[in-house]
Amino acid sequence: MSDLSGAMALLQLGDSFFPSGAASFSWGLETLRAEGHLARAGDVEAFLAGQIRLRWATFDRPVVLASHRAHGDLEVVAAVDREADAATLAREAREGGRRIGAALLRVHAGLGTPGAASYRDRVASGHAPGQLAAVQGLAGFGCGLSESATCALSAYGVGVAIVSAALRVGLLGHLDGQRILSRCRPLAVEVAAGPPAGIESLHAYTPMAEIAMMRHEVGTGRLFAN
Amino acid sequence: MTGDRMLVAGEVEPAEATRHVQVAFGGAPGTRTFLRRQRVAYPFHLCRALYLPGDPPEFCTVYIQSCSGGIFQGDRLGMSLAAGADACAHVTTAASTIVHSMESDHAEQHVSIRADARAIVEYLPDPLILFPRARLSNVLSIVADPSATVIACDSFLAHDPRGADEPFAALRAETRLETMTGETIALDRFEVSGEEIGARQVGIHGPYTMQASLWVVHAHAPDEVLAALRSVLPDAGSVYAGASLLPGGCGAWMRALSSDSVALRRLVRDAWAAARRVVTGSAPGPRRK
Repeated sequence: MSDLSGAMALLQLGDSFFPSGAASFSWGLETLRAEGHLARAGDVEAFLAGQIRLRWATFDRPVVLASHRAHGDLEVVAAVDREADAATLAREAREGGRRIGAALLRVHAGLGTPGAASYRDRVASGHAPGQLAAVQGLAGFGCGLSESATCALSAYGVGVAIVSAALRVGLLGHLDGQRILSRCRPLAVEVAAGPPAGIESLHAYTPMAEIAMMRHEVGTGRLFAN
Repeated sequence: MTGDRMLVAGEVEPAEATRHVQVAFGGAPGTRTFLRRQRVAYPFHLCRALYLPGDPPEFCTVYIQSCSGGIFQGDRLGMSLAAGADACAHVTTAASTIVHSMESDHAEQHVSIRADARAIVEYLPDPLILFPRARLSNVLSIVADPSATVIACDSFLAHDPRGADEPFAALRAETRLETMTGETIALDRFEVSGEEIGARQVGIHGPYTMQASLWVVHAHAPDEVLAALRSVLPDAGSVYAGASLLPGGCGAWMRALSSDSVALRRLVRDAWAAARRVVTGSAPGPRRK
């Protein structure tokens, strides 16, 4: 893939116009906002930075990379996928990851991305959960994206989901959102500099966001799916 | 992870010789659970089996005490608790466990629980107290028959006895639930430093300094367990807590953050009591600590 073609593919797949369904998830932000733990733009930036450092870097990124490095071997992707699913313990995070993964698979299957339709069948038959990060790795490889570009898509997706959720609950304006995304970019680059954790040592530590998602299951704020 | 590398779960398979505590409970429907086998080595001491008022008559309570004063640099501690079919056991500690300061190396503790058909195992140790520069890998492995129940907790807080608020170096914790055939159903693995907790970052620990989790593996009625856990969660106050269903419908779990050790301990106790009510039909009797 040429530089221009690769850049255009990345723009297409990372665009909010791409129908991935990710905008309906807040990853705990809605509840934290409702309960007064997030009150201003600076809080959103701190929240996003924490998610990037202590979840995306040590959990999502290794899953994306392992799935990409499966080079289309769906058995390997499914093993990575199952580990990620078992290690996502808040129900709305687990189900949210599955729902976005399924939406992404549906789009890629429709676009003819190699591996997407077959993997979608596996998910439909219950042989794989279809977690978002595993699907991102599979689809990134299928689209011919590099490991680095696929990771960029994944990190950017986390940023956009959180910033757009913050926008919708009135925590910040559009310009604040773009500033936060810009400032989180070097952080993602920094935490992605080292070798990823192996699948056997995936780990994450975002207990407050996790608890918020658990509380969201029975909370009154239901603008988002988690 | 700062300092030397800690072993990942698959590598922490304590050899027979390093399993300082090996306890097997035996039982049968309607009869008292008994200690079928025990092998206990320094630094641990196993108290005799107790049958406490308020518990179902089958329930056997055992306290595990440490003679060494806590966990020290270089410790490699292993504990194996096995409950045969229909056995009902409650295992706890007599007090909190201090994880002492470490200048190099780290410490490891691996607790494995096996619950056979219809067995009930409760493993509810008091909190880990992490001293400055403490570095611990704490692994809890649970293997349960689909008809068995396991209730387990883990909790930690940081403490600097000199009052200087020097943070612990690292805590790596893993709780893994597996089927009898070795399939992972649920896995919680995290690594955190005292410095990270002290940063008070929203979404991570926020203003809270302590954390506790309670796992209730009870595939027979996961929704009832979840409702029971939720019934004791505070809406506001010094504890921030939530509960959710575990993957595969195998049970439910609770996680809580707080800066009030008394309130956090009370919540764990209440959540355990609520889960016990679902499992046996009655709340547990009081335990002396």
